[in-house]
Amino acid sequence: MKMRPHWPARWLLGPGEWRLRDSQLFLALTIVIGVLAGLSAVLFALSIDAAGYFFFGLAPGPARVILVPTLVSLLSGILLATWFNDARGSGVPQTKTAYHLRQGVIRPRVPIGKFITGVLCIGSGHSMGREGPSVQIGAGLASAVGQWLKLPPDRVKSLVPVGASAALAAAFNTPVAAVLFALEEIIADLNAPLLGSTVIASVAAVIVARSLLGNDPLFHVPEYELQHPLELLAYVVLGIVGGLASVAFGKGLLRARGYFLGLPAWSRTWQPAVGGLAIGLILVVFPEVAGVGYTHIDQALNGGLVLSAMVVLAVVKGGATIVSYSTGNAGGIFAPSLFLGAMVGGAVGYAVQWLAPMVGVPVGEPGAYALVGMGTLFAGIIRAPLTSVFMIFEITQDYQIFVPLMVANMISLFISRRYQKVSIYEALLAQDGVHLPGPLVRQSVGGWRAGDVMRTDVDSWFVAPSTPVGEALAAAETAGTTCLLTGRRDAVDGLVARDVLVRAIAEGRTADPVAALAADDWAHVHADHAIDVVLERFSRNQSGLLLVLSRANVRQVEGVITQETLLGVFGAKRMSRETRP
Amino acid sequence: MADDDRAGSGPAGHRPAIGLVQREIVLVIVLAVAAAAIFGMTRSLAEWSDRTADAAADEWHRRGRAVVESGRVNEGIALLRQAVSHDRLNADYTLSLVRALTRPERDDTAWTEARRLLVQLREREPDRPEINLRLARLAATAGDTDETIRYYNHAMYGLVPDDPEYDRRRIRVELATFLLDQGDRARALGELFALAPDVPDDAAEHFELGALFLRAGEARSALAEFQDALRLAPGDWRAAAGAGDAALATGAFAQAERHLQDAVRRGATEPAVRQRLALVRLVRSLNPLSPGLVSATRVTRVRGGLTWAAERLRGCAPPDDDPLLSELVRMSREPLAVLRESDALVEGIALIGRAVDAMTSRCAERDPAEAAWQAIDTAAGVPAG
Repeated sequence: MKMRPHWPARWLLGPGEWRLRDSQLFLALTIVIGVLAGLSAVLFALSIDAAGYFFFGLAPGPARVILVPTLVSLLSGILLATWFNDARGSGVPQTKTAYHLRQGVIRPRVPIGKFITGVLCIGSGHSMGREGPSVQIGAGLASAVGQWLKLPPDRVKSLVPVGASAALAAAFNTPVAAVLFALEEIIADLNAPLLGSTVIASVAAVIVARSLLGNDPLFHVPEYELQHPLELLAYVVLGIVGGLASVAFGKGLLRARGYFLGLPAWSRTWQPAVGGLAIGLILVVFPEVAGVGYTHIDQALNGGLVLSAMVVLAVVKGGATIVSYSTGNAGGIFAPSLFLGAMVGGAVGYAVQWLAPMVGVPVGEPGAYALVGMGTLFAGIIRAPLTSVFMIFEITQDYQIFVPLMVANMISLFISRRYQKVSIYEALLAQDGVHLPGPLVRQSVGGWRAGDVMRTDVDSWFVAPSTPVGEALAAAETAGTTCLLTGRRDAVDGLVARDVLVRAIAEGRTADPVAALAADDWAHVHADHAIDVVLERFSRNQSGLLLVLSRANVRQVEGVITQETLLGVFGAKRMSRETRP
Repeated sequence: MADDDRAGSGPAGHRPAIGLVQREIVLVIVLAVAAAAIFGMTRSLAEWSDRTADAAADEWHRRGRAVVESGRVNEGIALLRQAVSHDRLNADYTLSLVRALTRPERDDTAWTEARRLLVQLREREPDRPEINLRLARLAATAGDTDETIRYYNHAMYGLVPDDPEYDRRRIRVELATFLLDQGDRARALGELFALAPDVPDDAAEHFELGALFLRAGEARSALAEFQDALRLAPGDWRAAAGAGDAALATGAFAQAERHLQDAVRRGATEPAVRQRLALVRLVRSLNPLSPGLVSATRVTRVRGGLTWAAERLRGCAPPDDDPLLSELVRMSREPLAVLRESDALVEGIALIGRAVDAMTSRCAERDPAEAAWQAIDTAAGVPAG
């Protein structure tokens, strides 16, 4: 029963109740989340600076430089292992996972944990960026607000990129690039209907950030311009070098992280401290690679670094970032990508300056190449070319740099894609057992999906890995299946065909554990895959069985598809596009 | 924006309203209040962070300057860069870095960086004289005349907090010197004439200006400045020597001899002063236009000069058919009545002057009389002032 308003409310509001329409509420929330995410990003950046001053002072001795990252990483390692496991690393992959696979639900403790561990890790000198964590904190805040207000799931999901773009806009003072990043990287759809919301939130966040930190740009860049049309060739070279450097960095990071992920689970608590010790030792010799490194990017852009310093810093920064990230510390690769790009670009710029007099073509300063290099490595590593172009444009506010930037970016992106098929964030998620839906899945609407044709009553198909082969065959007979799965439904270990079990018994291996015969690679699809993907993978698969795995955990079996189930479902439902419900 | 616009059926559309106001509105207001509180807290932290960063930058600046002054320039530059990176708006830090980068031993890369820093700084403080002055010096080193003049002019007319007149004068002196180095005498004279009325009663200042006028070929103004310097510092032999040189250039040879004698008497240590005194004395002994001479003496001196020039050119292996030599010989044989005419005297001196010019290229060794006749020729061509 609706309550009748008292007279003051009637006088103020008229005869009706004070209610907001859905779109009005979403608009109000967008602005509030923009402000909150902007504040969180500013607070995060200030806290990192404060932590840095607190930990190191102005001129720390070598012992302090080694001990601070080691001990602080030990503390953050315990926090990450105990309470904030989702706060490791960048935060962008986790945000993408939350958006695509968890209906935008991020636990409220995640942004809090990310804030604390991010401040500890980056403030203690780890070579990591603050933008990725800012994105996760902003997205987490937005999700928490949506959950707190008990918004419908699709609205909670919609708020995640809104919070992410707002936080990034405030962190970088680049509202347009932040919107593009949310669309290009988080939503992975430039035509997403959330454009208006992300723009509003980004603007709100930038206003907050500028009112707190001033309107000073992140980097101070002199005006650069293309000196001669032939100079574009030099930027082509920069694109090639940047692309190769992106691939080297990405592969190095994934390989090192794969190594640490392969170590026993108990070691995860201590891995950040190992990384902290390594970083401390690096910082004794190369203090320039500590933290986000904006100071030295600025120097590279303004011609304050010589060639040898740029080459050395590029190599050391790349290595230090790989160490910090792969050992499970909290921090991103956004700023390190820009740092590497500035150094690689500046080094190419010096080489071009040295060669130019021989060719007789005027060329720009190394700072111009450092600037384009930032975008080039960002495009190559993060694989967000539009974000990269607009970010550099917003930083420089110089239209002249657009053309060389686009040329170098596209070449870098092409090379990066050629030698590493998936983007760094998706590869990192794959290492964590998460498969995000690809663009085809996201874009296809209508039609049958794997989830529509899978069989879900497959608990009887699972046997323990230690089950003797004889018992396993009996279980297969009982279940009436041609294949058995070892492990649990949420942690599948292997797959063994009935024929293999029969052959093993014939060889007298009846008492052997079934795990000894199980294969650990199996064809799979995800429930949202279109039916043509299912058929295509089915036709390539010898076992006659296709597992349907969770995207959020690729060891969790949601169902199976066999030839029989496929035909049965088709027959039973008289499947056709016309009759599809 | 997502555009579901179902009136009254929002996220809370399926839930009853709480009291007068929809629950979500209350929560949004609560969030806004929380945001305001966090804003205040963040502002405090931002102010603290600014103060800390400023203090750190100040410390780096202080250390950087000390280290540069101790001779460890690279180390000092690194510290100054830290200071600049932490507080780019502080022009003093940037200028300290620029000073370190533009030390003579630094290479081109450092100078390029310095120039870039100054250009950036100038965008924020276009009127600050030191920025423009340093940019002018960098442009002068790079040989960019237009840029140099532009920056010097900006430096001159920029705001100077302490002693604007002195600063502006110094900058103008620097600009005039640069223009004279570039051979741009006309623009240099313009600057010097603009400078002259502002020179205070300071002997050194007048002396400096006199020297610049003399370099620019404006001997009368130079003489006036040197005389002012002498008036303010009567014992200064440099001022006396300068006045002597200026008087020599104006053709006031008696006055030049007097000033140069004064300089020698006051302890001039430079041999050049004595050499110029000797030259002036030679000029006075040869000059047909010296005041007080009877016309016969003037003619004798001109004839003597013409004969000397002809002999010397012959001695310096002239071409077979030398019209200049023929002219010298012809004129030296002109009747007395002809040479008595003042036009003929001046014509004769001019001919000797042309002969001296020819001697410069033809004769291997110099004769003191060459410089004397050149001075006489120059003085004869200078209108009486």
